[in-house]
Amino acid sequence: MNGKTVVSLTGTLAMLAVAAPAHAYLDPSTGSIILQATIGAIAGATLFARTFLYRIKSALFGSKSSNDK
Amino acid sequence: MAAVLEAGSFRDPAGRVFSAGEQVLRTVTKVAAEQFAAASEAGVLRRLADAGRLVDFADVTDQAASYGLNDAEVVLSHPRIPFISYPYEWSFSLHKAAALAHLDLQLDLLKDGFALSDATAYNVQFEGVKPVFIDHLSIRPYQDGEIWAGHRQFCMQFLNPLLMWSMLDLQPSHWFRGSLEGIAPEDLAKLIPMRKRLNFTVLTHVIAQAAMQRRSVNKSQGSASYRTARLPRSGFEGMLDGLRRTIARLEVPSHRTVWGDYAQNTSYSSPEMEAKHRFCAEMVSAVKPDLLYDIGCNSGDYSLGALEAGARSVVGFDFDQAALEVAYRRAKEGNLPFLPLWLDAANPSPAQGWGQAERKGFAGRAKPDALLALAFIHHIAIGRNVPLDMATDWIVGHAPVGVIEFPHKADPMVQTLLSQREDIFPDYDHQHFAKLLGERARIVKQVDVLPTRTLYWYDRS
Repeated sequence: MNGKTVVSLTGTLAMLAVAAPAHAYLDPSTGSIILQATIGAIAGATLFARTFLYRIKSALFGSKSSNDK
Repeated sequence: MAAVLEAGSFRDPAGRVFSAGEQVLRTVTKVAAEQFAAASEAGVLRRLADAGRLVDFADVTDQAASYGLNDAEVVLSHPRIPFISYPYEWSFSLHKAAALAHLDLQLDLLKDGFALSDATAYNVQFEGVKPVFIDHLSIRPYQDGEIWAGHRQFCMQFLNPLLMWSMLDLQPSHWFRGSLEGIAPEDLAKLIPMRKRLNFTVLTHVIAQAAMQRRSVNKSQGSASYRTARLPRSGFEGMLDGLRRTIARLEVPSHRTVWGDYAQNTSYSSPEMEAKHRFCAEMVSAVKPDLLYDIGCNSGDYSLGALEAGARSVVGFDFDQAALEVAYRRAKEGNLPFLPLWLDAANPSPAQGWGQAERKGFAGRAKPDALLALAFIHHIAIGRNVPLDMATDWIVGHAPVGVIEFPHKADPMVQTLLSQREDIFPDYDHQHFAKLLGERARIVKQVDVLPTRTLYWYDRS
């Protein structure tokens, strides 16, 4: 799949999705929107898996607070 | 008292910021009144302000007429932040703290059904080194499925400068200062070598975003055609969480060893340093400054000393990023009202942006009551060829009272600077300096902390 197909595919996916009004004053830019349409699902799934694993870990080993620096 | 418009607040039609004496006022316009009421009624703004994450506010709409702000739907009054700083003046750790604060704010707001309408770094200021969000009108109700409108802005103003610094060990301040919107993914992508691209954050937020943006520009297909795009809430939270994890782990390779080296040396205190501390403390306890500048603050030894002697807040400036990192750690660990910032004194931040007034220059941005300039003047007088009278004018011009340390020409610090070049500085002499200072201010007191170093307490008030 070449880059052109990726872009038009994700673009189409984005168009097909249900409309949600974006806040007006800041232009989000096309590159950012296509990226969000592409990686949003991956990011959501990653967070879900991480939260799930974390819950299992804390149930087994007692809770430990996380990642901050 | 009539309110004066702050030149930096015009981009968001939701409101404007004004100055009225010591007060900072914010108007809410008709277009944003509903959103503001929603955030206000949900108690989100109050909770954040009480937690110190959002600058405090009071509704003073009933006094709108007395400020000449009759057209506003709502008028808020805010306490003044001692020193407004800009991202190109932040150290790596300050920039990172601001980025994390922004992401945490987004994540917490989402839980309450709210979101930020933008991601500008200029909306983050510091109290001490604690980030504080200053734009109440960026907080508005979240609409399920909406895209993250501020994503590109977040990348340009937070993520990319931090990646540039940590991945390439390249300070982004100079670039950011020249490009107030931040560093575009299309530009950063060109600098990242192949082997460093194999990282999810870099690959997606920088490389892929840049490629998609370039393509859309080439095809002149604007974002309007994608306005209907949807980002599920889980995806939004996932992106925020992923960026937060990445940014929390970032550090600058060349800064890594500094703190360790410093911690080993803290026990060292010479009689000269003690004498300097005593002299500065005497000035500070006499003046009791609300705001003190420490120009050439290094790792903050004398800034901390000034706080102990009674200064209410200190803003330190230094050219050395590694020293600023140590200063940051000390301010953070002690929860001190001390903000260490980056400054090239020979080329301080200019007034710039729209109308050359949107972002203020270094001179006149705040009115410090006193200053310290210790082991500093030789860096500009010899290191940067600034004639001694002009260097003195510059320092004394910043505050009515202060302590200036003058290292004599025979001092090892000065000799180090002269070792690489011809001595073309016949006027660089401590007696000449005392004369220059005396012409500009009253010399209250002076002391030789070493045979080659003299401290002067001046007062021109």
